[in-house]
Amino acid sequence: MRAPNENDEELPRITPAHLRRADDMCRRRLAREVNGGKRHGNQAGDMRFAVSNRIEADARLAQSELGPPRTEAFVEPRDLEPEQQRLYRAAQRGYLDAFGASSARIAEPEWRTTLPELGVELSSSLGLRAELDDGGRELRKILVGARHDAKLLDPVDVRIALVRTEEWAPVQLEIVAVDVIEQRRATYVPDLDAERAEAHEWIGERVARVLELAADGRPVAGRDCQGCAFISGCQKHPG
Amino acid sequence: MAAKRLLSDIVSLTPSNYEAFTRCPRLFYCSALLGLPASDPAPSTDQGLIVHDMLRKIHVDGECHDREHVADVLAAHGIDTPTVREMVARHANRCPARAAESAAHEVDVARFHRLPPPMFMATARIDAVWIHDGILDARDYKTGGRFVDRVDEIPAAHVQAYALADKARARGLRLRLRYEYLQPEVDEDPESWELDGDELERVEEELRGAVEQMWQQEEWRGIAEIETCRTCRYRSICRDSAAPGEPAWPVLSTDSDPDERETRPVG
Repeated sequence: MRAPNENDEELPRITPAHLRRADDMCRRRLAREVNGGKRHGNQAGDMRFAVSNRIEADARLAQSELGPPRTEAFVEPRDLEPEQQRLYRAAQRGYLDAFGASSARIAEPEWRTTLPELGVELSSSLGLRAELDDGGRELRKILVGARHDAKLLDPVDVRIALVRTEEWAPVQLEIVAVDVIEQRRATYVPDLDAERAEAHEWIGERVARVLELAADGRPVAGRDCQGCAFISGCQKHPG
Repeated sequence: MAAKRLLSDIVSLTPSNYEAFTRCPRLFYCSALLGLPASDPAPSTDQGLIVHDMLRKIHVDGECHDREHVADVLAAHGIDTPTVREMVARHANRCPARAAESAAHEVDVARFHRLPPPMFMATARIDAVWIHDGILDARDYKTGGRFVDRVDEIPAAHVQAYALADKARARGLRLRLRYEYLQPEVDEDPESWELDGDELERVEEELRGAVEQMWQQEEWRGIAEIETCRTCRYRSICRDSAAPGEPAWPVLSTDSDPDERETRPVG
C-alpha cells in the first residue's frame, strides 16, 4: 500500500460510494467512474463541498506545525456566497470547539491510496491526519451539517481508514468523526491487529465485486442518471 | 455566482429541486447547487418516511386490504400505532391493487432532454406505480397538509410526469398521476392528473424553459416575500431573506465566546 505518483499507470479508481452501493448502481456509470474517472465525462457543477473543503484546508494550515490550532489560519472566505460565509463561520467555531485544545500537527492531505495487491486506488478525502504531541495518531473526519439521521462513522468508513492509514498509523489509531455544525461526535479506537486484517479482507472482496460489476457495464436508467457525467452515448438516453 | 460556474452541462431536475426553483431561485441555489444544510427548522419528515416504507413492505409481501397482514408488518417493525394504521387504511381505500395487472414500488425513473437546448436530466422516485385499465397509475403518498386542488398545480408533479411519460408510452398506456393524502385531516385528494401527448409536450417545454432561466441567472436573486421567506429553511442566512435571523445550528447555541473565534478577512 502506498500513495500514488505521477508515473503510475492509471489504475481503476474505487470510491467509498462504490464499495457501499456498487450492487445497486448503474453498471455503465460504475464502469466509467472506476476506469475513467469523472475527469473524462461531462462537466459537473462543483460547489457543494466548497465550505467543507475550505474548513479542512484551513484546519490543516492551522496546525501545519505542532501545537494547538492557530485561529488566524481560518480566513473568512470572501470569494464564497454570503450564505456559505455564514456556514463557514459556524463550522470554524464548531471545529475549534471540538479540536481547539488539542496540540497536534496535521499531515499533508491524502486523496488516493494505491493498493498494489488489488491493482486499484482507493480515492476520497481521507480526512485530517493529526499527529498528536504524544505521538498518537488521530484521524479526523469533518462533516458540515449532515442530515440528522446520517451516521457519522460507519463500518465502511472504519475499514477504509484502517487500510489507508497502515503506514501512517501502524501501531495506534483513533478515528474521530465530528459534525461541526450539529455538534455530534463519534470516536472509535480500533483493535488494529484484528480489525486491519478484517478490513483488508473485506475491501479485497468488495473491490473484486466492484470490478466484476463494472466489467458488465450495462446501463440502468434511474437514480444514478442524476449527476451522471457519462450521459453522452448512453443507450438508455438517446435523446 | 454566475450560473455557468455552477450548473452542470446537463442540469439535474428533481421534483424537489424544481419545486424549490419555482418557489424561489435563491432557495434552489442554496439547496441544489450549494448544498447548504438548512439553517432553520423544517417540519419533520420522520413519520412520512416510516409510512412510505411500511406501504412498500406491505405491498411487497401481501395486500394492504388484508388487515391481518398489515398488522403483522407494522408489528414486526414496532410501529403498530393507531396513526400509522389509519394512514394505511386510508391508502387501502384508494389502492388499485386488486384491479391491477402489475405494480412496482419506489420506482426510480429518469428521462433526458437533449434538444432543443439546454439539456437536462429529470429524475424522480415514484412511491408506487400500478397498471390497470390501460392506465399507468402513479401514486405519490403525502403525509402533510394539502395546499392545492389539482395535481397539475404542483410543480414537482411536472418533473414526475415528464420522467414517467416514456414508461407509459412504451407500454401504450395513458399516464395518470395521483397524490394520495394519508392524513385523516385531509378529506379529499387533489384532482388527479391524466396527461395526453399535447400536455406532455407542454410540460417538457415548461421544464426546458425553466432550465433556460437557470442558465440566465447571474445573481440567483431571492424573491424576498415575507409569506414565502418565513417558512423557508434558509430564512436566517439567505442573502435576500425577508425574514432574516440567527441560524438554528446547534453549534451557535453553545457557550464558547465567538469573539475569540473571529475569522479574519482576506487582505
